[in-house]
Amino acid sequence: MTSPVRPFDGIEEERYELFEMNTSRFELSRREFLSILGPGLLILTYGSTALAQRFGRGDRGDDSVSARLHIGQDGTITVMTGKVEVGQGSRAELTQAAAEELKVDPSHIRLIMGDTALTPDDGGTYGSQSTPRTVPAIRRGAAAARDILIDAASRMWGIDSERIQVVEGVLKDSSGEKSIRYAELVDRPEVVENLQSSVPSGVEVKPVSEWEVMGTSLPRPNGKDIVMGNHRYPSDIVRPNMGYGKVLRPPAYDTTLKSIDPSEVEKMEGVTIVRDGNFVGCVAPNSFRAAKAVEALAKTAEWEIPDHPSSKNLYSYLKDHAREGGGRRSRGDEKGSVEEGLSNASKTLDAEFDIAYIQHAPLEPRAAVAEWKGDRVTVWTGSQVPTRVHRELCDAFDLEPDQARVIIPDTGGGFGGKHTGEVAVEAARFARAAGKPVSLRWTRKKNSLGRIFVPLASSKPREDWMRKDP
Amino acid sequence: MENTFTIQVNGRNESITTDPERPLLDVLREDLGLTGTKFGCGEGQCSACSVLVDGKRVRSCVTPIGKLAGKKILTIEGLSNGDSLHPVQEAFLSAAAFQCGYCTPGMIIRTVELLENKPNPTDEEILNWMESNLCRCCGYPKILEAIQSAAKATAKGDSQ
Ligand code: FES
Ligand code: FES
Repeated sequence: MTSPVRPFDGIEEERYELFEMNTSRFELSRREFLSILGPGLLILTYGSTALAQRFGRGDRGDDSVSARLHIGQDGTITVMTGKVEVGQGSRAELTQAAAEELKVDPSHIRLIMGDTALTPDDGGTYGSQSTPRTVPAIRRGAAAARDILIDAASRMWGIDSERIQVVEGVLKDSSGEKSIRYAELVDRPEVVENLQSSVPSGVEVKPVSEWEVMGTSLPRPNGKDIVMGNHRYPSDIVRPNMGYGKVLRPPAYDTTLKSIDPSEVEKMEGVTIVRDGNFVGCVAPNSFRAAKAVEALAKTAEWEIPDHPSSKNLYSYLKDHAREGGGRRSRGDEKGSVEEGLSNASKTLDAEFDIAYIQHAPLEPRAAVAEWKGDRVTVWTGSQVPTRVHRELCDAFDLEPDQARVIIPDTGGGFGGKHTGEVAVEAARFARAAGKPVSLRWTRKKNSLGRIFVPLASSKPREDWMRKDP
Repeated sequence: MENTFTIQVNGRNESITTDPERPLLDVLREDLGLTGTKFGCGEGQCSACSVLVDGKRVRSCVTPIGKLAGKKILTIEGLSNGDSLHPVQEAFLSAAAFQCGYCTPGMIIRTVELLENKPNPTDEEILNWMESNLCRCCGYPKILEAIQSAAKATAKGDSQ
């Protein structure tokens, strides 16, 4: 696995987050889109984000959509973003951004996050970029929608757009005689011309001094559901006739399954054994039965376990095997010479620090529910990078982009450890083999042994002082 | 071997036919559709799966259903009255005492138990009592604030 060199643009994500390029690109046609959302005004906010570039999509120039906004003829305002909510508060913040520019109460905004059928591919949720990048994108999109609607009203009423005010989603002329709601306008031919529009350059967002919603403390829009236990996290999703999956996990990393004897488990009622190379697991009517079936299989499994360095020797193993050139990316602003500095130092301190692997340890383990309809799969899962999960599904099952849909319900905190899509692929494998929707939730043990850690490190900083008079 | 058990969940009698070793958590989530109670570890370590059994908190992930015949179980879904929240839920909501909220149902259940036992807890008593419940988002200061205000609200309610 190589890490492509990317220009430094001021954001420093944790490096392991960058190792794999995300190349999937798919946009619904307007017709498909409107068949889901209903007719109305659709605004796309474009803008090549630096994040998109870093994932190897710089060649697309300005054509990456970073947010979508839809005003339906029923008055529903829907904002769609590829960002996800994992407890960092984006749902409230992005809702505020749209409400501010559209001049409506935040409760009137429906925010769809992380649904690959509806939301644009804007990289993922990490590196603290939702505030500096997505908030402005949504503001511009919402401001553009507002302007299009004001413009339509001004033409319809034959008055200058300066004389139109928006209060709570209702446009009013300054005399107070005429008024019309967003929803009613969306029906009109002047607006229909603009049914799909990108944000014109020069669209003006409200100045900070006029903010009414942004900068205030908006409670999390689905907070009440959370305290009532009604919000469905990925591990809580239930589909009709759903089974529960458990995976037979190897006893160590990089092991190969040599043999297994399924004969006893095959007799268990309601249990489906799924085997695909090294991947073995069971689907059962409940997770207890699935776990029992996997335990029984484990007793018969023979593994080929390669030699691994012992945990006791990890740091020396790391030092012996570390490769050149994995260090910090240059910012291009180095000056002077290290050797010279060292030889002129008045005092030198040497130290060595070993840093262990660190688990992200989310309280909600990785989880996914997969459901196939013919050759199309929908997966509900927790991930900070929905489009990456989507790509992993397409790769694993040889699907065209429109055959897979990934939906990310507001998820238990990820802390940088919920980027990849293994659990989604595993659930989809189960669901396909069992012929019904399957819920898979990793065990705590698997979650802790899972693939992503904050990497092991050993560092040797050296500090030198140069003083004129020591 | 399956057996049939009758338990009372949030005031309703439920007859469950299942393996007696199956954890209560799974029965709630998978058989009764009550997914408000969360799985965090499955090993009795995090208390995300807290429910009240005859008024006492148990970790439902390590409590086999076979031991619960005839018991009264209260889950997060049973706290509110229709749309109106229990004072502890109200306190967590208004203090914004959660980030992802995955630990919240367990925290709320544990707090309900606390206030039943100690209606006017000191901060130290709150911290000791809540020791069992983990919040990976580390929103502890807000959780403490929520519990303090829940205690006040409950005390007021009692004296009326
Ligand atoms: S899930 Fe029961 S204690 Fe963690
Ligand atoms: S709010 Fe995320 S675990 Fe507590």
